[in-house]
Amino acid sequence: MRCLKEKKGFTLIELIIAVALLAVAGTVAVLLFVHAHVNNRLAADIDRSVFLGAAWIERIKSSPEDWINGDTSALDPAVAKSGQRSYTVCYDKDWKLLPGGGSRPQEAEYVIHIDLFEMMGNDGLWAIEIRTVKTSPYPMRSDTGQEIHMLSALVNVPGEVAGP
Amino acid sequence: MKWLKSERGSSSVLVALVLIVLVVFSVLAVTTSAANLRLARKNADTVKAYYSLDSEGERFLNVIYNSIALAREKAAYAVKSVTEGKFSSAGLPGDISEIIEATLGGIRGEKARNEYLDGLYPKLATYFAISLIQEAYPGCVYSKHADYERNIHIYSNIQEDLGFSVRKTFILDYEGALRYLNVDVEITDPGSDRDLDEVCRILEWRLWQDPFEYGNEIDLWEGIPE
Repeated sequence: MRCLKEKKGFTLIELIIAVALLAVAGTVAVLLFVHAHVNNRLAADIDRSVFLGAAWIERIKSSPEDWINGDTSALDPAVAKSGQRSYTVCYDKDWKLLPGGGSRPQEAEYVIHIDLFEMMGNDGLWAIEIRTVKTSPYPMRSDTGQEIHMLSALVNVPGEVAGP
Repeated sequence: MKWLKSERGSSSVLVALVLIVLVVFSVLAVTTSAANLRLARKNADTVKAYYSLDSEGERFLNVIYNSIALAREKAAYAVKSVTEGKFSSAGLPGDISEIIEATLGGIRGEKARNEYLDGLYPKLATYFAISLIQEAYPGCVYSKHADYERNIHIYSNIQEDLGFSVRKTFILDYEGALRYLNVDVEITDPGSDRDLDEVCRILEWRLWQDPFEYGNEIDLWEGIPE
């Protein structure tokens, strides 16, 4: 005991300050890592949704009549109809296409909404709008159903042009 | 050197160093991820720019399709009016109406008259198609099989090839760099009853931009030193 009494230790204030500094630095580091993770996820999701959005636009452009007429039998089985000229395609968290289209929306992590509109005053000209939505929020964020990316294009359907 | 003999406080130094390293790496991770996000958004904007330019081309093509459809309608109406002898209400310029009237006056027999009117319809459809497209996009018709607007003798009973070509370059200024879309369409016999996408043949649909070279002040591509 005599030996211990002779040794100088930390005061309580010193300990409190040291622990507080460590806690602040540790919290900042963790928050920064989480922020970096969210940014990386968002960047990857944007890249993927841009790629898939462009792919779906090209697909619609190759056979626009099937999409305008709403003939789902002519479309990919993963495409589900959600309106007169509105469709949804669901993906899981790894961007794998969910078979059965929108029949299992609760399992979907990402949903691509495809809408087709007729351009007023331009016979046979249709607008395609592709919106990619993430159903669950990113870590430390509260916004559900966040729109990741939106892409639009025009397509001509010559058969829709009124003849004489 | 006496202080080096004591190891008191070394663990605190170690913990502090670990934390500093952790914070430095986390800052680096955030910087890298922010750069990734910027790059992803830039890529998304580039794709958007691509489709906005492509959409302008589609709009141009739509004007061509609709002009041909309307030209067929106008030509059919004009031929009907001419058949009924109502030259002034045919919707044709005065000189063309006159030559059609003169040609019809010189034709003897119903069969020859019908043959002439059958041949007149595609010529008028071509004339109206050129006029309507030129009205929407002036100067885009760059080649014609015949001068349908000035050479009125085409509308007499001579045979002419029917067709013309249109070309347009769309330019998009995207973040200081110009992007181009060249569209070239050949239209053959617009008055025929073929589908519009068969009448119009797309010869060129090319998106391109100037060669990129960062901070280029001299023309290195041509190899000309300053």
